[in-house]
Amino acid sequence: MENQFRKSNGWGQLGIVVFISLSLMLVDANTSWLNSPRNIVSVVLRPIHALASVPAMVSDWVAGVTSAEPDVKIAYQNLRNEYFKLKSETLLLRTLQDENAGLRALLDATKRLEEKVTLAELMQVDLDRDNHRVSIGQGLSSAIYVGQAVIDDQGVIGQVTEVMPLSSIIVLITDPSHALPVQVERNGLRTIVRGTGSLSRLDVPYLNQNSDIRKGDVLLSSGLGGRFPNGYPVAEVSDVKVIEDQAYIQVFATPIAKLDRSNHVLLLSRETASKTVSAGARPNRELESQGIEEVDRGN
Amino acid sequence: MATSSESNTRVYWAFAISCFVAFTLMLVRVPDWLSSFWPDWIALVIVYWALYAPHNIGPKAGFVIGTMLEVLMAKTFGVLSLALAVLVFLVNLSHLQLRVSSRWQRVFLVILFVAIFKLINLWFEGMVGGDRLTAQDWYSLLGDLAVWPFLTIVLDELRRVYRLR
Repeated sequence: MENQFRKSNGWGQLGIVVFISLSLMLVDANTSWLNSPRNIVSVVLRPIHALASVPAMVSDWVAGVTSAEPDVKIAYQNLRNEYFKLKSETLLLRTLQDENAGLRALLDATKRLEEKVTLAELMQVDLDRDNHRVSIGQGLSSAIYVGQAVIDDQGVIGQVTEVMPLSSIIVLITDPSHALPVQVERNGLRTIVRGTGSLSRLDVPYLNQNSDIRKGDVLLSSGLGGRFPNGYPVAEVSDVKVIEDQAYIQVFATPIAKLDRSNHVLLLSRETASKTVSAGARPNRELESQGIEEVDRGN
Repeated sequence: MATSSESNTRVYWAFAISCFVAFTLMLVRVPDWLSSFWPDWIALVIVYWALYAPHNIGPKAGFVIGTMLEVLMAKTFGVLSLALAVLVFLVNLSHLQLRVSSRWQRVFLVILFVAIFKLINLWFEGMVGGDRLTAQDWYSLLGDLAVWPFLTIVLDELRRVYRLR
């Protein structure tokens, strides 16, 4: 009796569920209404994320313990050498800056925006295949705002997506939902770089067969979209593959920044831009659409 | 009547625990070479429960688990939940045939159902703006094939501990 009842009910249940799923899909793909429910549920499910990052933490810890003592001396030597090198380069930089300001004045170009740099220490690294996020120990109290670009000494790391009173969350450029507009250093070709979920690989989509890009090209942030300042190294092209009968070629790049190795990051802020940028609620999708638009216009 | 509702609660507990573990396994960071072969843990766990507790685990349960997974993996709402609901429905429909078929036939059919689940999932994901289907998307079926026998052993044990039929 009960069996019969359940069986006839299965179709009804499936119908209802399919209807709800399809409407959720439509709403979530086109609007951002479901973001706040998503955030609430994600807080509840936080323990699962924490648990999933345990194996990686353990392996990092073991690697750290087994390679501790002798490395410190070498690291110290390296740091000292690098310090002197950088110091000498800074001296040169000052004269170049003056020269550049003079040249810009001659060309009547607008002044390059001054960037303020904040140093922050990583608190927690939360990496799994679909979420590349790290949190830092600075938040509202240090005037961090959503959309701030984050770099390290080598290149772009990501951007701030959530600011809490004493900490904030950074989404890495390798996060699958993240994209940022870039330019090829060699020829200025504009495109975007998208995360794949792997720390060592970025996807460079929407390049057609005629695009002048090759292995070894360095991609710099282009400054389009207004979130990342231009000229910071992002990635190096590692693989260019032409697939027949496909409109786009397959290009992959390797991030230049030490995404999984740096303990400190630098946050760039622009005094003038900070107010307008912090109004953007959902950086990722916004940025992605902007990037795609730019590429389309470029073609 | 009381005993039946008690056994229902036990089923839900066992289901929740195995889903929690499957969530964790789905999110664990694995080396790059392994990641495309990494099994669809949640789909396998759900198939198992839809097969052995079809009166408790229906399309609704698939929908709820799918929605939680979408939050965890930051995917568009509705895609995974739809695919999981259809998967549960298919297994529910054929649970009697599946139970009487031989071990090898059952493995084959389970992988077939999971393949249908993946097809629906990837299809709708493509519609809401995901990536194009590639051969790599199907490698995880090999992983499913490899872990299914061990998963059934573990879940059989869990069922025994919870004294479920």
